[in-house]
Parts: sequence; C-alpha cells; structure tokens
Amino acid sequence: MAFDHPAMTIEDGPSPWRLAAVGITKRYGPLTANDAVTLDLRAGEIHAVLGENGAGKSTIMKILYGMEMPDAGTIERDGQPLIIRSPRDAIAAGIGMVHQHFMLVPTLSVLENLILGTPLSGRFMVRKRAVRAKLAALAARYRIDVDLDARVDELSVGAQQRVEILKALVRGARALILDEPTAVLTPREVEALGDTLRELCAEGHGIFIVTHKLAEVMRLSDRVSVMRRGRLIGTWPTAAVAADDLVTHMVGRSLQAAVPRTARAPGALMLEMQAIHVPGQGGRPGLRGLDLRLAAGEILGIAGVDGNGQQELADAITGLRRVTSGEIILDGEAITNRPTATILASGLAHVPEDRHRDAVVLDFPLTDNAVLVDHARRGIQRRGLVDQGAVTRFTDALIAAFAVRCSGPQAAMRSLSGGNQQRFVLARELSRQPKVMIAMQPTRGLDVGAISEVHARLLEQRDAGMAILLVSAELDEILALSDRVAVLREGRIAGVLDHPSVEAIGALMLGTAAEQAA
Amino acid sequence: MTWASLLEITFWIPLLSASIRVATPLIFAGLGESVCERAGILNVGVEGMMALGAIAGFLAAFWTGNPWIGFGVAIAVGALAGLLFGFLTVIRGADQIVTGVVFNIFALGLASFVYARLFVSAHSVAQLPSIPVYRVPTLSTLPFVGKPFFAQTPIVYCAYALVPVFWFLLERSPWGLSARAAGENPEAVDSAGLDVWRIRLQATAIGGAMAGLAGATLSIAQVGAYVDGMVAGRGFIALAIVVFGAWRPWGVALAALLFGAVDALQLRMQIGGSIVPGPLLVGLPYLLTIVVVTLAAARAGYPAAINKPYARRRLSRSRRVATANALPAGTRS
Repeated sequence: MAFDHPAMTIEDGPSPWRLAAVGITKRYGPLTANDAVTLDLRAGEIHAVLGENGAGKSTIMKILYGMEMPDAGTIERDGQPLIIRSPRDAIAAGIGMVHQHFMLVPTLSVLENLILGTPLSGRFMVRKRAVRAKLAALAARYRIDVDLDARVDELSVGAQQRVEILKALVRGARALILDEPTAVLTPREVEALGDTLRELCAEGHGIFIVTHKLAEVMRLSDRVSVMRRGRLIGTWPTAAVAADDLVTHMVGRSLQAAVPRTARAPGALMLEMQAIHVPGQGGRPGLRGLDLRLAAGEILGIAGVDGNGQQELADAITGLRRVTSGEIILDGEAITNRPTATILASGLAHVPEDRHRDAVVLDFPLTDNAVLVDHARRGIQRRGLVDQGAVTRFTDALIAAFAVRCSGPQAAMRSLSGGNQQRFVLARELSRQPKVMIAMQPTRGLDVGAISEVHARLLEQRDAGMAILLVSAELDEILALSDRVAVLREGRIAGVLDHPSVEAIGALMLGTAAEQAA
Repeated sequence: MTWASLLEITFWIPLLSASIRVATPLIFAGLGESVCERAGILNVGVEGMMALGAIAGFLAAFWTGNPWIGFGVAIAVGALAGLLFGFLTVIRGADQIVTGVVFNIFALGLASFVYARLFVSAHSVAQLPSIPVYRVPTLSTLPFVGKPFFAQTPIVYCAYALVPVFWFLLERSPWGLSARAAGENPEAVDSAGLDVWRIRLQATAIGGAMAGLAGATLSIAQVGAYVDGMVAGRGFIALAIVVFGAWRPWGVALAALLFGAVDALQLRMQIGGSIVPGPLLVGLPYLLTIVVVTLAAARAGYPAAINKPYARRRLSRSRRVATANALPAGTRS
C-alpha cells in the first residue's frame, strides 16, 4: 500500500504556500451571499473569518471546499488557479474542512471514518491492522488523542471534532477550514483545540476559523477578516486591531457591551424539582436525581456541555417526557407527568431549543403559528370555530409588540429571518402571561443585534417578576443574564453558583475526575 | 399427517431439504436487498424484479435450452431493473416506497404480458427440463444433514457461496465501507470525496441482479416453468428477512432458512391433511413476516439515511481535475 503522508515525511521543515480566493461572487436567486470576496491563507497562520449569521462566511468556505460553485472569481494556490468542483478536488488540492455539523458516520468506528474514501481503505479489502499503526503515528504526531476502535456515536463532541481534524490530515490537508469549531466545546476543550491548532501551524499547515465569537478570534488567530452582508469589510493582523472595532465592523454600528440590569429581587418559589429521574436514551444520561428551585423574579442559568440532560430537563417540566420518579411543583401545584396542555395552561411558557421542529410550523402563516398553543382559548374560538378575525388581530398585536419584521400576519413563518422567528415565538409565549418560562438556547442561530434584543426582553420579564430557566451552551449568555447558575452534568446539578465565573463553571462542567486527569 | 410421524427421521429430512430449497431464492433476494438498504435505498421493487427475472430467465433458458444462460439473462435483466429503480430514486430523488410499489405493479404486469404475447400462443405446455441434483461427494453422506444440505441442485450451492461473498463485500471491502457510510450519513461520504450516487446506483444494480437471480431460481430451478403470480409475495418476504437478519448477510441467510422451514412445514401439513384449512396454512409465512417485522421494530437498526434521497452532487467527472490540481512535489514539503 503506497501511502506517504506529507506530514509523515517532513524532514526539512515546512515550505511556504498561499491559498487565495479571489473576487468570489455567489448568488442564490436575489440574495448575494458573496460579493467579490477576496481572502487568503498562508502556511503557518490561523486566519479567523468573523461575521454575523448570514454574512456569507460559510458560503465562501463551502466554495473553497468545492461544495458550492462560485458565479465569479477564482481559487488560486501560489498564484496558480485551482479548479475545484467537488470536495474530492479540494481534498486533492490539500484543502480540508471540519464542518460545524460533523461529517462522520456515527455507526462506524473512528478508524473506518478516517479511512473512508482514502487509499488507506485498500483496493480489495480493508487491512485494519496495517492501517491502525499509520493512523496512530499520525495522531501521536499532532498530539490528537482518539481511540481508533471506538464507535463514533460513543464519543463526546470534542472527541468527534478531533476525529474530524485527523480525518482532514489523513487526507493530506495543508489548508484546514474549521466552521464554528468551538460552538460545541467546553472551555477546557477549546483550550485543547487551540493547542492542536498551534501545533498544526508549526508544521506548516494553515487554518481558517469561521466564527462569530470575538473572544476566540482575539485569542487564537494571527489575522482576522470581517464579513458583513456578503462583503469583505477588511483583513487585519489580530494584534493590530481592537475588539471593539471588530464588533463595529461586524454589525455595522456599535453595540452596548452589556445589557443593563437591576439588582435581583427574588420572590416566591415558582418551580421546584425534587429528585427527578428520567431514563436516558442513546447513551445520554437522562436525569438522575435532579433537584432544582427557581424563584419569581430571577433568571437561573443552566450551564453544561450539550447532552448532559438539558433536553430531558425541559421535556420533564413541559410533560413531553415521562418522569420515572420525583416531583415537579409549579407554583405550589404538582405537575409531574401531567398532560403538556395542562402544564402549559397552568402558567408555563416554553421556548424550545429547536425552533423549527418544536416551536413553529414553517409553512404555516404567522396567524396559524400565533395560535398553535392557545387556539382553544376564549376570544380565539367562537362557537367551536376559530375566529379568523380575532386571530389576525392577535397576530398583529404580537408583531407590533416585538417589532417583528415581516410582510404581514399572513406571511409564512419560513419567510422570516431566524431573529424575527424567535421574536415572534417569544411574543407568543409571553402573551400567555406565564409565571415560569423555560428558554432553551433562546439566541441560537441569531445575529448579534437580535441576541441583545432577546436578552433585553428576558431581563425585562425577570424584572416584571417572571421566573426564567435559561438553558444555554453559550457561557457568555449564561453569565450575562443569570442571577444564579446551575451546572448540569450527567443528569444532575453538579453545583449552583451565586457568583458565577467562567473558571468555576468550567470546573463543574468537567467534574473533578476530569479535572485531575487533565 | 399424524403426530407420530413427527418423531420419524423420514419426516424431518425431506422437510429440511424442502426448507433449504424454499429458502434459496429468499437468500438471493435478501442478500441483494441488504446491500441496497445498507447503502440507503429501500428497494420495495424486489417483488417486481423477481418477476422480471423469472420470466426473462425462463424465456432464455427455454429458447437456448441451457438453464445457466437463463440465470445469466435473469441477472442482467434484474441489474437493469435495479439501475432503472436507482435512476428514479437516487438520481431523480423519487420516493423509494412509492416508486417501489408502482414498479411492482408495472413489472408484474409486464412479466405476464410478455409471457402471454411471446409464449402462450406458440406453445401449449412450456416446461423446462429439471436441473439435476448434484450430490457433493462425502458431505452428502453425512448423517442427517448430508442429504438436505448437500444433495441439492447447484443453484443452492450458489446461495451457500454467496453468503460469505456478500459478508466480505459489505463488512470487509472498501466498497462495503463506503456503501454502509452512504446509508448512514451520505453527507460524510460526499465530503470524503466519494460519489454517493455512484455507490447507491451500484447497490441498486446489485440488489436488482440478485432479485433477478432469485426470480429465475423460482422459474428455472424449482418449477421448471413460468406461472403468473409465481413470485407470490416472496419479494416482500425478502424485505422482512433483511430486517429480521439485522442487515447482515449471515443473519439474512438464517432468517431465510427460518421462513423456508415454515413454508415447507405448511406444505407438508397441507399434503398430510390437517384440521387447519389449507388456505390458512398458505398464509403462515406471511403471518410470520408480520410477527417478525413487528418484533424487529423494537430493536430497529434501519440505516439512518434509508429512503432519504441525497441531492447534491452529480456523478463526478472530477478524477481528471483532481490529478491536475495535485500539489507539485516541491510544495509537498
């Protein structure tokens, strides 16, 4: 088996190269996703591409990786044009990509994923033993720690990401594109990722990091480019640019750094969960004796790595999943395993994590979406029929109250931007005048402007006395909004912090065992 | 049939022989279908492809006088039918279940039309010479298992041989790895630079070829004639067998044997005279199908991307381009 990996044969040190996308334009119908964008990447550097959602940063990366074809512009290496029409071409040209949603086959082993589609898989049969040694050597070289024989769906998200990076390296990638690499990682995993990336740079690889997180850009990158609405605003050496300026470039205007807030004035106990057990599925821990207390007028942040029981927690409260033992009390009333409609009617609002799946019907007009939950309410229903006039008036009120940008109450939910969809969902849930609200990842997928507005709305409700349970994977969000922070790990509350800090939360997220091992 | 006869070996040996005979076409169709499904294509058209194989194989065998040419033609026709199914579902992205159902109606009709037009008018009784049994030396003299397993027609030995071949193809070959990946996460396959469409078309061709072989086994090796409706739901049973066999060749073979045994048993019971009415007995294997699929549903391990068309990339012409872009030796460090 002839397999000489470039990284395995480096003897005389890395040689310089330069990959460039020159004047790339890409249109999807009336939308211009990339407008004459020029970006370049050199050997040994980390180049961060910063921008809000929809700024066009993913599009340009997909073009570099051959997943989309540009309408105009070229890709060049060392001044020579490259023809890249498919990922296969990109791989052959030494470009690798780690997607935000990993491109791994969950039922296959790490080793099988690594060799899929490479000469390593052999011509006639897969020779695992011979291949394993080579892969182990490559992993060791970059200090990437993975178990080659584990099934991918048994791995943590961080480990899966390491597999993805290794996969790109196995395919001979010199230029690596990472799309939102830190979105799913714990703070410690982010640090480890940074180490790996710096190691790769020292070996002469170049790395594009696509992100909307400013802190990481400042910490990790050598150069930073900002994109806004399909245009490249500029490229600077990271050391020579201030974070505030980058935000201004990203948003096109300056934002207030933090949402102003008043002192916490917690009231009566609104939600209590006692020793809740929910069986886990598919290797997830479920809930294992979770205790939680939430008072009126406070925001309790639930931090934790995804998959540690967040979904089960929300499902248990909303009655979407059966609780096997324990008691849930909402404003003095036991709601354990009651029907969801009953629970919602007794004063619970729910902003689910997956908006498109659980909160709205994309192809329905806003009017129908407005009364998805409460279509049987008096005032909406009249003599057994839905009163369309009342529904339209109600929808208009929601649109006005939250300044939802749309073409009118009859607009399809699908035609709204993510931020406006979320505004509408929030408006609908708050119109029900709940005592308790569960907000799962309320700003996921929203741009900076929409995020600060959602934050302001949540704080406004807290000040008005609502009890809010905020579940988020974004530590910044948790820290900005929460009065107290509870850390969820393996289906239990690992600890509740009254004065949270990133370090304290991080330690609880990982658990003491991991702390010692690291 | 009396209960006492159950104790006699003369009851069991012919029963086992018959089980294996009945299982043979199910093994063929099930192996092919498991490849399709692992690659993410639910080929509901197996039934129709078996009918096409049965008629095509029968005609070719009858006209050439050579049953093996008949099998060859049936395989080729099945593969073409599989490619057609693949064109509709993989490239055009049509729903696999609806396409499969319609394909069955079409293929069953076509088979009986072709038979009626080309054959019935010209020949009153069309019967093929039966394929002689080949007794494997030594093995066929083994006690109990010898006769049922090793005194069969060569097509049965073919089924034995294909089980490990398909196991190797799916579980050990690089193609099998990419096919399994295509059935679980086609995006990953695409992003690894492999062609999802090509892999899936290959899988449907293999599935069709095996269904054709299964159909020809019925017409050429077992009945010696073509009869309308002779597939009689075996294609659908093959679908159940794949689920019951957990999409693995050895499991598929075992599941096929189980179904073969039930079918052979109900035949014996009919012949032997049973208090249960014959038509109910005929339904036994189908009843078992429902039970098995219901039980298997609990531990469903369907490939994640089954019946999900993958629409991004055309059959790639990029091998050439890839070489053109290869890094010059100097920059490879």
